Amino acid sequence: MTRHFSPLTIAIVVAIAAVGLVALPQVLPSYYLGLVVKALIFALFAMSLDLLIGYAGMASLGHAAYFGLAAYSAGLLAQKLEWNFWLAVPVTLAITGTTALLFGFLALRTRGSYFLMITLALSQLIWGMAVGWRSLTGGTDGLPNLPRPDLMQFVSLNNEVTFYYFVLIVVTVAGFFIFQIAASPFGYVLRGIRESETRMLALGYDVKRYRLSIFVISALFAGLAGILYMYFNRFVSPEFLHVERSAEVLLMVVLGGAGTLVGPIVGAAAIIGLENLASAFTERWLMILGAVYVMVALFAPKGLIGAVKSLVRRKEQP
Amino acid sequence: MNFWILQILNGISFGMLLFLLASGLSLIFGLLKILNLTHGSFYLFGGYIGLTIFSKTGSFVLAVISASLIVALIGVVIERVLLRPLHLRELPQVLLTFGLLLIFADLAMLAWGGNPQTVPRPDFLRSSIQIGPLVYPSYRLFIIGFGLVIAALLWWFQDGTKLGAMVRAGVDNEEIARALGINVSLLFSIVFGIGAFLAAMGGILGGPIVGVYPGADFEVLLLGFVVVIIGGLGSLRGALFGGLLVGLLDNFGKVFFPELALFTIFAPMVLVLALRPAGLFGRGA
Amino acid sequence: MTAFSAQSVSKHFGGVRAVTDVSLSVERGERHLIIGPNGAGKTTLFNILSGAVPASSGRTSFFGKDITTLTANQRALLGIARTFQITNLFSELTVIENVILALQPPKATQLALFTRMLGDKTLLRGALELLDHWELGDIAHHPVSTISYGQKRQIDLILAMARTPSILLLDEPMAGLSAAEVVRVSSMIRRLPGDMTVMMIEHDMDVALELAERITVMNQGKVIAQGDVASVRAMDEVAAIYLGAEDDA
Repeated sequence: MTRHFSPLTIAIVVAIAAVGLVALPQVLPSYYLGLVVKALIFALFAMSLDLLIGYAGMASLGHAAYFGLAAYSAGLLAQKLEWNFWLAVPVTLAITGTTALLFGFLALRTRGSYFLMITLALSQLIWGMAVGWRSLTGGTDGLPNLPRPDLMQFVSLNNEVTFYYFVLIVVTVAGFFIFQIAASPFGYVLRGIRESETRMLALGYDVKRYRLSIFVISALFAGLAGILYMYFNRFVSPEFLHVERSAEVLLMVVLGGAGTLVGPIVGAAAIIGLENLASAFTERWLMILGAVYVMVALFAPKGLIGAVKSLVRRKEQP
Repeated sequence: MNFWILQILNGISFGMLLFLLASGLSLIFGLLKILNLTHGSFYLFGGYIGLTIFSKTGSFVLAVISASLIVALIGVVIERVLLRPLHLRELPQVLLTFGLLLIFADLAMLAWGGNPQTVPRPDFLRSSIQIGPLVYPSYRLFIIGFGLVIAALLWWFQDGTKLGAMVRAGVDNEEIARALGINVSLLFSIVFGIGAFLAAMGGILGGPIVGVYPGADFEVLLLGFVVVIIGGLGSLRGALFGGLLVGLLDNFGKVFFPELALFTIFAPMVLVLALRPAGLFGRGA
Repeated sequence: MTAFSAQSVSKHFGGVRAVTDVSLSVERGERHLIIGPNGAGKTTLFNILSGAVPASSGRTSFFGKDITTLTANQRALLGIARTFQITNLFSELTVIENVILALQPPKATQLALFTRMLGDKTLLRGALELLDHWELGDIAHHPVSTISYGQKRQIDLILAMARTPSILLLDEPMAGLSAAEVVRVSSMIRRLPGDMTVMMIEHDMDVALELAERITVMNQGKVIAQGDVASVRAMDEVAAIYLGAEDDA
């Protein structure tokens, strides 16, 4: 991807985006600022899935399991045990990572559509537990009035602007790590596995182990996004875990362009913007979303970034 | 003792509905290699359309047959127009079938509203039958019997007919089947149609037992997947065994552990995944 | 010293017996050719030797050590490398990225999450040197999907050789090449280190026989002749198969 654009172009774009994002609270009313927070959180969620789909080549329909599980864990630890942020988050990530390890071990013996189906079933069952275990999770009503983290003396995350900067920082740092992993030798091994598993085995790579590693890593980032979303809403419900959430983030990755990391960011912003716009105009916004899925499947499987890439490539060949 | 027999029969009758759904899912995956998420919509629409026809005409039999045919037709159109261009491309197929699932769910909301509806039992199946000391609804017994008949029919189709042999050839190796002169394109549409037909039939037949309501599509789809994971994709035997097992587990789970009902299904599924990833009767993942 | 040996190796898929009771042993540094008509089981044998497919029965040994239960990647780490009959490269990556993947240490890379792939100067230099050595330096930054078929076969070979394996299994390295490309690839094979043991499946008889020291002839999953080039060429059974095969070819 970066082969097509000069380092200078990239640097300029990033700089403009950075300035824009930092200055945003000064210009945007709080409702729209909230939308940007949501877009940032889902951008992180989508990037985490892209590591799995775009880089390792494993399409999953169960990524919301980690998003939701982390949200519930962090929420419950804060509400029921009154743990503070610095303790609750690492423990939550440990729980999420362990679950991903277990699920990965179960699902990774399969490929393709089998793998899709199994990730779906495993995550829907966690959803079912969230709905059924009313005494712990509040059932379909979820858990309301969850506290935002108490970071330090003078910083109150209950202020929407402060919260925006908090999310911006966390997502930027996490995003930086995701980009780094993708560009690392480990990341290239994943791409090699996606292109030809047999070749990677013949070169000595323990493909199973690499797959399991990225499955867990990607789940951890998804969990981080889930925690942020819970703080954002001060609320968690089974919707965080439902297949509709897993499918939605999948759509964001494909619409933006799998395997590019930038694509999912664009895709997340696009879908959140679309959902917001559509629900303002009509009650039938679910149908519109469904139509977007169908359109992307039929006409834009390489996503928006893919379309940009082919345009650039066409320009390069006179 | 009666209690147990009652619960077992309840589980088996529900399991038959799951078998109807899962057999279609399994057939479609086996031949077309498609994970059909829209299958839940076929079930849902079978129920809703069937209910409408039943209430308008008073004939349950007509409702079952015509609703299933209508949904089968919709299925064939979807397969030919939308899924055919995406042949063997999993990710676009997933997005497409999920998008359709959403569209159909919203259409159902629009057409039939958000309230759960019950389908009344047909007059000829309203009674309860005495079996020894036990009194049991004849409708549920009918479902069990009907399910077995369908299973037998599908078996005969698969193993005893020329069409079934062609399907088996196509499942094994599509290219060779084509080279042998089998009209794979027609076969795809027929099988997809049959799958949709079975799902819709499950939806309307299940109406008197579980009702027809928004969200049934997702619920039944999930259970269908669990059946297929346990039983094995592409196996009729697996769909029947898995369906009955999940039906029983679901029933007993709801009776004994209502808060963690899904966990009783979770545990065996995890066990199967750990020990036999291809499913109990499956043929390789 | 026996570098590699197979003892009574068999493989069946369902009812099909692809390989039946095959034994062979290869000395260190030997150039061993495996020939036979299509469907003789040659590639299946390679798959068993490289660990891509488990044998139904029989044993495989590497310098005296029994490796029958080792997986493909474990065997690769021991020093057994292979090429593929159908070109098997990482098409969306560039040539040099392909080579680096072949050069870097597979185990250590599991933890290499925080460095940059193209940042390791030693690896980068090593990869470029390797490409220059085989006169492919100018396509280093081209995506593999854009290079010619002949160049792909050469890269296939380079990937297998990158970490100087002790045993190299070449599966029809000349398949589909033009005459000029055959010359290039056979010269590459000729320039392989003398202490590297090379086993090769090939159909192009003239070239293959020039490179080989010993031959195993297979037909219908079984070994029908084995020995040095001259004596095997003289055998009636071998001529029979190849006269028959020539009619088909």
